[in-house]
Amino acid sequence: METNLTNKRYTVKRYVNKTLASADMQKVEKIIEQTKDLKDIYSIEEQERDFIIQLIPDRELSQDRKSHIRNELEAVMHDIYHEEKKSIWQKINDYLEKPAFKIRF
Amino acid sequence: MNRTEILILTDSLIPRLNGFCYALTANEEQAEQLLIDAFTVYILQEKSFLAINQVDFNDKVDRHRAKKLLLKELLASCFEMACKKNLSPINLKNVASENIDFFKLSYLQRAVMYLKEVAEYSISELQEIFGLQRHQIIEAYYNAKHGLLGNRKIMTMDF
Repeated sequence: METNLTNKRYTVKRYVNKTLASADMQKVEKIIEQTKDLKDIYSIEEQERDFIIQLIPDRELSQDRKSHIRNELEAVMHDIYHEEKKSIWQKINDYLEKPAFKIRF
Repeated sequence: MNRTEILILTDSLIPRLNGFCYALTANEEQAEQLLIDAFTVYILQEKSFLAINQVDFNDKVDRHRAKKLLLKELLASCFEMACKKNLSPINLKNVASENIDFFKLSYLQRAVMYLKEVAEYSISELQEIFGLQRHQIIEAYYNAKHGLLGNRKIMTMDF
């Protein structure tokens, strides 16, 4: 009996932690709804989870910082693919500006 | 998918990525730099880039799939970068009192905890991101939980 209750407790814990297989989630949800003991365990586990979430930092990003990061990422893209952004006329111009050969003395 | 489209997708992912980087560094400037470095490395890795190359940007489902994949790959890149970089040790005096226990956890534990509880990723998704076995992710998750709750409650491990 005790083992059975322990197993149920683990199952509820896994349901709250979402570590159960997705196929079992709905089954366990129904069982919790129907059993008072499990409902109590569920509410305790849920409270514990909410408490843990409060301990995890989740910084909100200000609009200024977001646009700063966006600009930085754009600059990274530009730096990496700088060569490819040249138009065909620029490429021709660059090519024509290079000397065809060099004479070394 | 071209580079502009990747930038558009990345734009909407910046808040989540920044939150993740902050959870790893506990410092806004370092988090920002980590995100930029991870993005740079990701873009330089042509293989990852090619994985989402076959996406039709005009198709909503395709775009959503690409966004999810891009987020996972960038999260993986941020984590890898944080582990490789010699980040300065976290100064717990600058951290909010309720977050001190969180920043005492290891990189993996913090990363798993943040993505599991805040971003609501499943264990299998975390496996993909960190390239680890299921039991390793669950172990990190429960150890992190134990570290957070400390002496408040003795946790039982269930794998």
